[in-house]
This record gives sequence, C-alpha cells and structure tokens, in this order.
Amino acid sequence: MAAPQTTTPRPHTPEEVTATVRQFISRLSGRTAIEDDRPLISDGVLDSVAAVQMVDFVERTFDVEIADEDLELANFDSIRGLAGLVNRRLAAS
Amino acid sequence: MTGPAPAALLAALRDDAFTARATAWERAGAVPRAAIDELAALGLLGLTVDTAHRGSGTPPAAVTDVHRLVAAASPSLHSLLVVHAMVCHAVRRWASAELRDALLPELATGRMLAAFALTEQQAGADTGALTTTIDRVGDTLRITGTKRWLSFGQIADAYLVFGSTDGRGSCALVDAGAGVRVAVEPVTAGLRAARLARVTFDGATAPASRAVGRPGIGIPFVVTSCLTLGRLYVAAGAVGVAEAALRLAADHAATRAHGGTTLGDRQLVRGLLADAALATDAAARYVRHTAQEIEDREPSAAVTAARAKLLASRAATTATATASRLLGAAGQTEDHPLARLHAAARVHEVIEGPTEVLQDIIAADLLRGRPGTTDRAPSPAAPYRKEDDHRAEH
Repeated sequence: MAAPQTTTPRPHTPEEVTATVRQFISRLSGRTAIEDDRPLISDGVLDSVAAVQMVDFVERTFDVEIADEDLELANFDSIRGLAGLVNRRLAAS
Repeated sequence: MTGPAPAALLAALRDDAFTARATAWERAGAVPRAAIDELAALGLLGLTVDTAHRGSGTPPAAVTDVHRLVAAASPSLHSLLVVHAMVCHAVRRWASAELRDALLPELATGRMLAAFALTEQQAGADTGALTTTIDRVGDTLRITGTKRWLSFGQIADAYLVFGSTDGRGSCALVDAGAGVRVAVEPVTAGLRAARLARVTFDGATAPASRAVGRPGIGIPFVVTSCLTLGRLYVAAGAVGVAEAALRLAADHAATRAHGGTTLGDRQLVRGLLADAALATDAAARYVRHTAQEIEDREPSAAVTAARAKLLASRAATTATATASRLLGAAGQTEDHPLARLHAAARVHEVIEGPTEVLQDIIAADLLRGRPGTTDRAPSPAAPYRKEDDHRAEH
C-alpha cells in the first residue's frame, strides 16, 4: 500500500466515511442491511425527522458544514449520496 | 452559543410590573407593538441569534428560562417568542449567507417582526396538503395562498411562507406590503392578545434570494428543524404555566382555612398538589435535557423535543386543573390569572403539534425497525409526498 502523500493525515478516509454513514443510517432506520444506492427519503426508509438528523449528524461527526447549495435531495437520499457529500466537503476543507 | 440571557431583560421580566402589563394586554386583546419594541431593546427577540448578528447568543437552556418567565405572565407574548425564534432559526440554519447577514440583525433587534406562515385552513401539521404556491419567474418569487391563525400576523413585517414551487415543498421570507392582505382572526382563548391573523398572499412578490432552503428539500428540512425548536419553546412555556398554576394552588392551600384546618392539611389536597408538583418538576427537567440535546445537536433531539412538548403540556393541564379545583369559584373569574393559565394550557396541547401527533412521532421512533410494525414513521410535519404508497416491508 502506498504511503500517504500528505503530512497532515486526513481525518477520515472515503471508506471510513461510508462505513460511518452506513452505520448511522442503519441505526436511524432500524434496519441492518441497506444497499448503498437505496433511496432513503423518497422511498420512505427515513422520514423528515431523520433527514434533519442526517444533516446534524454529518456536521457534528465529520466537522464539515453543509451549505445551502448542498441541500439537494440526491445528497441525502442514499448512503452513497451522503458519503459522497461528506467526502466532497472534507476534500474542500 | 455563549452567554446568559441579558440581565436587564431578566430583571424586566421578573418585575411585577411586567405581570401587570401582561394582564392589561390580555384585557385589551393585543400586545402593542410599542411594548414589543421596548422588550426587544432589552434583547427579548435576539436571544437565539449569535452576537455577530446583534443577538445575545444565549444557549438554549437559558433561552427556555426566559420562555418560562414570559409564558407564566403572558401566553400571548410567549407565542411571539416562539414564532420569532423559529423564523430566526430558519434563516440562520437554512438561508444563504447573504440573507443571513442581511436579516438576522433585523430580526434580533426586533426591527423586523416575523410570523411563521405554515398553517392553512386544511393543512396544519401535514405540509403535503399545503395549497400555497411560491412560483419562481426569473429572479422573482410570486406567492399565492392564504395562511391562518398566524401569531402576530397582524403586525408582522415579514412572513416565513411555506408552499410549493413546481409541486415541490419550498419556503421564502416575504415582506408585508403589496399583495399581502391581513385580516384579524376571531379572538382565541389562551392567545387573546397574540394578534392572530389570516394572511392572504395575492400574487405578492419577493426577490428569489429570499428563498429559504431549496424547493423539494426546503419544506421538510426547514419545517422539521423549526418545529423541533418550536416544541422545545412551547414546552418551556408550558412549564412556566404549570409553575405559575402550582404557585397559586400551593399559596391558596396553605392559607385557605376550612373547618379549623387549612386546605393544605387535607390529605386529598396534598395528593393533588404532590401530583401536580411532580408533573411540573419532571417537565422542567425534561425541558432542560431537551435544550441540551438540541445544543449538542444530538440526532435524537427532534423526538426528544416532541416528548418534552407532550410531557410539559400535560403538566400544564394537570397543574392548572389542580389550581382550578383548589381555588374554586375565585379562580374561575375571567380576570383571574388562573383563567389565563388554564386557557394557555389548552393552547399548549394544540400548537406545534397536537398531543396525538406527538404521540405518533414518539411511538414511531420506539417501534421503528421492529419486526411486525409498519416501517414508515409518520412525519411530524412534512411527508415528502402523499402517504398513499405501500411502504410497509416487514
């Protein structure tokens, strides 16, 4: 495995982000196995309370800020979408 | 968030003169704008706004103390605190940085009074049924629809309007003025002085930059997070009402002589007082716990706030009923403080989600994911779509 290219370690690898998000969504929905592409909100796996919880969870856990322009359904409607949003935010910070 | 509530504000609210003025407002059927401006100058409306935007950045737990004080004296003014805080929250949390910087100082200082324009005749907690439209034409939003029972809608400078844009839930801050018609709602017991209004947006316009949150995602996120905060503050107000009623009951029981003893010497009376005291104290503690969860941004905060509101509104009902029984006829007169508290307790059971809606949210959270139960949890405010599909999977 290649050595990290940067001297400052990233707080989370993309894989860790996905795993953390998956675990949170699992807890939130009460389901153990949710596919990464499964629509969460538009399919009714999660309700609107959960949607807001996701924003708070992401901001608190990864210390990123979700901006107005991030509030697109696609960014919250699947594990992959949410993990992708976090990774983009982490990369930008 | 740092800093306690402004000391001058707390002093003003604890002064007996405040209670006397609140009584006058209730009699007159209106909290006057001048009184609001005066209290706003002491920081009443900027508690939840950060100091950079001219608020006091008061932590939620300390904000709830102010709500308790205000609600005990004036349930009507308290409703202004609740809706104004919800609008401040929507702007702070979901609006663009430009809108935030432009409007938060106005809201915090009370130069702009804002009403929360969600409820319609046929749509309260179910935002999927909203008929108001917020059409976007170029850089302009055009708003059409009628909102009901808006606290302080009669004198608001702006309205946080919820509706739909191209069939998707959306939200915008719309100024009073052209295209906005304001009518007075019938006087409502419990909120006699809250300046309730029916507001019709008849092609009113606003710049597109006044949108709060994006269409399709704006409604559920904005409404849900506002209602979480609103429920905390209504719960805090209900605690204030319960505490005030309990004080009346205990004072009366301790002094009212009856057949050689005081009421408070009687076991049945002591039982009533004990139950009311426990309900009130439990609610007060739960409200502080909820405030902390909200400050810590715990994922459970939304459900905890629903629980707090349910618990506290019931405590208010219990305590006012106890006071009513102990005070007898004296407490039933229209001008007695208890009458106001009693009516406020009934209002608290309805606003920001009636008891049954809250029970549904709490139970859904409890049952979520358990085999044999319907998978779909009810939305506290906003289903993303009509709930006519089949989502039960277990």
